[in-house]
Amino acid sequence: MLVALSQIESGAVARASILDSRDQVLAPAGTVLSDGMIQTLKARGVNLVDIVSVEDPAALEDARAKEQVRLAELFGISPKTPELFQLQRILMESLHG
Amino acid sequence: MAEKPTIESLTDKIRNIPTLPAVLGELSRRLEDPKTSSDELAQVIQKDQSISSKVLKLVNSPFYGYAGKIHSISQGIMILGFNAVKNLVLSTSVFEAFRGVKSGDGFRIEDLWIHSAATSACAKVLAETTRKADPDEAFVTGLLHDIGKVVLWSTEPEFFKAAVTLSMNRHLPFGDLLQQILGFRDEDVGALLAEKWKFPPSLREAIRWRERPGQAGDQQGLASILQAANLLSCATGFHDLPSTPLGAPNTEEWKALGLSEDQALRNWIESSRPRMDMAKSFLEMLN
Repeated sequence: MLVALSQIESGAVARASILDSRDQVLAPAGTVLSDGMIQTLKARGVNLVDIVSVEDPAALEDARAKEQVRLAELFGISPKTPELFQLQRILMESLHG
Repeated sequence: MAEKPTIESLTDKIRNIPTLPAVLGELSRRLEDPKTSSDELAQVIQKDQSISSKVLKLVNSPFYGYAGKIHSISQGIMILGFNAVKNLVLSTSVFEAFRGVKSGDGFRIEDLWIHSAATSACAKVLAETTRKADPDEAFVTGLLHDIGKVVLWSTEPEFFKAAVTLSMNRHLPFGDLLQQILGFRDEDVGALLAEKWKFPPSLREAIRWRERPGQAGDQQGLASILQAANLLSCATGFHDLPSTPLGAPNTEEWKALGLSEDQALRNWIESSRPRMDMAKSFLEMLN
C-alpha cells in the first residue's frame, strides 16, 4: 500500500524499491526502514512509499528473518562473553513473541 | 591509516570549539544557591530566546506527558524540577554547538544522534528500575555520551574513517581499537570536551568511564547504567557505527544492575522499546 513518508514509522518494510527523481534506487524492495533511512528519504524528496501491510504475515516473517540475520552478524563479530550471549538469546526469543 | 591524533593535538582542537552559551554557566551558579526561586531561574533561561523557546517546546513534547500544558519556563521548572530543566538547557546547547557537523563517507551523524536518543531512553528506564542513578541525569548522560566521537569525526575525519574500517576488519569495538592504536578512547575525548564545557562532574565522569564503570568512583552506578544502555541501543538496531562490534559489559556491573537475570533483562528491553521511539521524537524537536 502507498503511504505518505511522513506517516511511516521505523520498522516498515518497502514492498517495491524506493527510487529518487533520477530513478536511482535509494532502498531496494524488502528493506526494513529505519529512522535514519526515513530521514534520508525525506531529504531526497521522497513523498510516497509502497510498504507492505503489517497484517501481511509473509512480510512480517521476512522482516523477522532479516532482523535475525542482523543480530547474528552483529553478535558474530562481537566479543564472546556470557553477557552478550544472554542478550543475543533474549533478543532472538523476543522476535518470536 | 591517516595521521594519528594525540591527546595533546585533540586538546588543542577542542580549545577552538566554541563554548556553550553563558546562560548555562549562570544557571549552574544559581542552582548552587538553595534560595534561588523558579522565577529567578526562568529569568536566567529567558535571557537566551533561542534556548528558552526550544526548552518550552521540549517540555511540551509527548516525552514528558504534558503536551500543550506548560506555558512558561517557570511553570516547566515547577512541574519537571530544576535539574530536568537544567538538563534540557544543556542538551539544547550541545545540539546547537554541533549543528554544523555533517555526515560523510563512512559516518552518518544522524545515526549517532538516533543512537544517543535510544541510549538515553534505555538509561532512564534502567535508572528508574535499579535506582542506581537519577533518571533525568541518566537520560541526559545517554543523550550526550558520544560527544567524543563527534569531536573525533569533526576534527580528524580521515583518521576516524580509517579507525571505523579497522574496527570492522579486526572485530574490535571502536573504543578498544582507539585504545590500542592511540592509547586513549573516544570517551576520554568526550570527557575533555565535557571539562571545557563545564558539564556537571557526575556527567563528565560517567562519560569518561562508560566502558570502565569500575573506575568511575562515585559515578559507578551512572557509568554502568550508561554502558548497559549503550549496548542495548546498539543491539536493538540503533548502532552509531553499524558493522562495528559491540562492547562487552563487565560481568560484575551487569550482575549489579540485575541484568544477569533473564526476566529482568527481558523487562528492561520491553520497557525501553517504546521509550526509544519517544526519545527519537524528542531528538527531532531538539534538532
